[in-house]
Amino acid sequence: MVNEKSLDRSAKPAVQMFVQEPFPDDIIQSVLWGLEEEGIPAEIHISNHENAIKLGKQAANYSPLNVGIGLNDKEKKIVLHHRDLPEDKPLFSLQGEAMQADALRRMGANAARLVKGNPLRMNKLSPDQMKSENPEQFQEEWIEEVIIRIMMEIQKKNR
Amino acid sequence: MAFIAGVDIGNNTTEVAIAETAGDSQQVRILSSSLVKTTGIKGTLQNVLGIIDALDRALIPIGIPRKDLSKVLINEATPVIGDVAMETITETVITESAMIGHNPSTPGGLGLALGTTVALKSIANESSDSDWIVVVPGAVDFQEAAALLNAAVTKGMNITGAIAQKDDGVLIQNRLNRSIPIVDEVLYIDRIPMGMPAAVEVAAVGKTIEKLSNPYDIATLFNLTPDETRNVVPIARALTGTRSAVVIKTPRGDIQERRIPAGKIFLIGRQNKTEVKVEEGAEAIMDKLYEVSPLKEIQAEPGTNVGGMFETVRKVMADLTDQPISAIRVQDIIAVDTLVPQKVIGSLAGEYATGNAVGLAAMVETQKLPMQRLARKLKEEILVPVFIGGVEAEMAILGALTTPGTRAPLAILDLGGGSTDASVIDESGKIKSVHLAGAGDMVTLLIDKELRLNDLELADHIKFYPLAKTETLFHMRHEDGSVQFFHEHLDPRLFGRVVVITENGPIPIETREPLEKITAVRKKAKKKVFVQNALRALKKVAPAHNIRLISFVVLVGGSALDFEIPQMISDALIEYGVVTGRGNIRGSEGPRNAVATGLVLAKAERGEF
Repeated sequence: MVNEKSLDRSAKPAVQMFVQEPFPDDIIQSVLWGLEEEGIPAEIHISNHENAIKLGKQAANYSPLNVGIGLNDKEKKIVLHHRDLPEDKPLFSLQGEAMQADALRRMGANAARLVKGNPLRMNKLSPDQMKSENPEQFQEEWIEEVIIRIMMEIQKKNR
Repeated sequence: MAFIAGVDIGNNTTEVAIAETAGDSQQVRILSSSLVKTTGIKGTLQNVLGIIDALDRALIPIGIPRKDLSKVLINEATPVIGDVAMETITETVITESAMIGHNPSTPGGLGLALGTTVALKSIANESSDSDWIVVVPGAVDFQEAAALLNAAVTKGMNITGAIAQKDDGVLIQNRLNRSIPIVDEVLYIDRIPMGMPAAVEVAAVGKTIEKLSNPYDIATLFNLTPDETRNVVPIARALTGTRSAVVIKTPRGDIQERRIPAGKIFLIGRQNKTEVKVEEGAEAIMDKLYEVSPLKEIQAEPGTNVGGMFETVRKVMADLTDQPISAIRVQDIIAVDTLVPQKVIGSLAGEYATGNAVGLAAMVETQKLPMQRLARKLKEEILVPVFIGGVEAEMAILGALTTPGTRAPLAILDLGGGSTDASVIDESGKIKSVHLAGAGDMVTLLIDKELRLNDLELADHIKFYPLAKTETLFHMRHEDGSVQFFHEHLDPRLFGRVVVITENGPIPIETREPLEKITAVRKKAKKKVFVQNALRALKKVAPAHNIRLISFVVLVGGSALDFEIPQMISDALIEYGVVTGRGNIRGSEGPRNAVATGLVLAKAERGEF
């Protein structure tokens, strides 16, 4: 069980993750990958009670970087919290169906960016998705480029 | 006792001043004023809606019903319309996929790698004699990619670097047994040619690449001849300042900076005429303009961007005044050099290279806008007699003279949205005025293009409001260095970003450019347009065309409200010994309401009540 007293106050400078047992490996792994790509370390502590928001807030308070993540698999909820935020207002939270691999990885990346002071990654379509969601526009751009290239080749030959 | 209203319809705003006059005396007392956005293009019947709104906003607070007005005076609106356009004159074109240079937020590894490009899936079949740069498509998970790379290395393959499509360069790198530089977030990875010599470079955090941004280093890496080296100069230039880069040598690999033929402008003066190519740049255009001045007309080559812009301006004016388009002439242009980020044609990661461009604003002046029509329509709507008052420039001067501490002789600079106007009144009350192309709208366009925003509204906000950087969830640092704290946490979308502080709260600017760069772009655009135009306009109206002979300049109009333009103009004019300041109409209105105030004062002066 995690509480303020039982934890050693000299926590590592890392984003703290307080998770409730049993520990859903794949969920934690996705979040950790997000943090890893951004180059910020994380530490995991096991707790066996309380809700995700409380865990997140405790983690943030405990983290020397002021950023914490709380996960409770029973309520299927994960939150990203900051020390300066009121406990009932985590910065981001994901619940149930929303806990997809890429959303979790984004939460990890955002935890890291919160530490670094870099702009956060919002739920926007990635270029890959854009390609499939809006194939016409993508194709148009591409065709335009091809036409310009062809015209340049013709121009070259005429010279 | 009677109430009269002065109405000034401008390009962007409609302003009203309500005055009370006592009997037949010439005493007027201005009771209230208002300002709304102009509805439609100035001089069209659509303006009526805006005028009524403005009247009501001025009348309601003082409790006077509309029907109690004895008359409404509208200005003889200056028939000036301006438009702006951007003409690109250089662009970077890669004819074969030859380079990737970009700033993924987190590339993997460190250093410089040289090898031959190979697809991840075929690495197992390649020989172990040469060095390889592995191309990792987005469909492959980073764990799998790392495993395949490690397996190949174990087999004795020499893998020197990698190019990845997704943002997982660090994740792959961390799982490798031997560290290699990895450039990630390469959008069009399928366009990378395989089996070609390539170099990958990743710089340490906070540094930029050193080798691939130097043409001689590229020549060294790929054994280039002097002629080939000349061809890679644009590549090296496009890669300068990035944190990671890839250069691929393809047989016909070629990148070039192209000058785009951008059309010609024909300047027809009263005495002589000349022509100038837009691609020669703003300085050449403006020099030629001075040479030929005074101008009769400016034409542009049809079928080019400039030609198109000239046509639009003339057509709008023709429609507005019911004149044939052939009767409409462009009388003034202003050209400004800018650097515009442009998508590199044929790029692999959506790179941008800086291209040269010329921003142009053109202005058309005709005999008269159909104000009579507008006056009739307004009268029908509000059932109050409507008269057309004096000429805008004269009214503006009369209004400006209500600024405490001013007297004739005096010059005003009316800094608007579409045009910059100057007028001078001498001791005897004679007024001379001029309208020039280029004002606030052009500044907005320059900001939009230079920062690649594609959002004129945001560009307009950046022009008008100061910037700040959101440093934590609870505080922002403003561009002047001051820090503001918030009790509630800020919107996460603002975090870590440069924001523009508008009246309706902060708006994030979605760009990687630092605050300093955005401020510099904003200031440069204002200086290029307004300082240049202030000098140009004052020279035209000053006695003997000598700005030194003007002693007072009062700034009026919407752009005079800007938080830095008045200072810039003041700094430029101090060299000529001119006292410059923002007007304060009637000691209370600031630089606004000059024309509306002038209208009611002019009537009172002539005792016309």
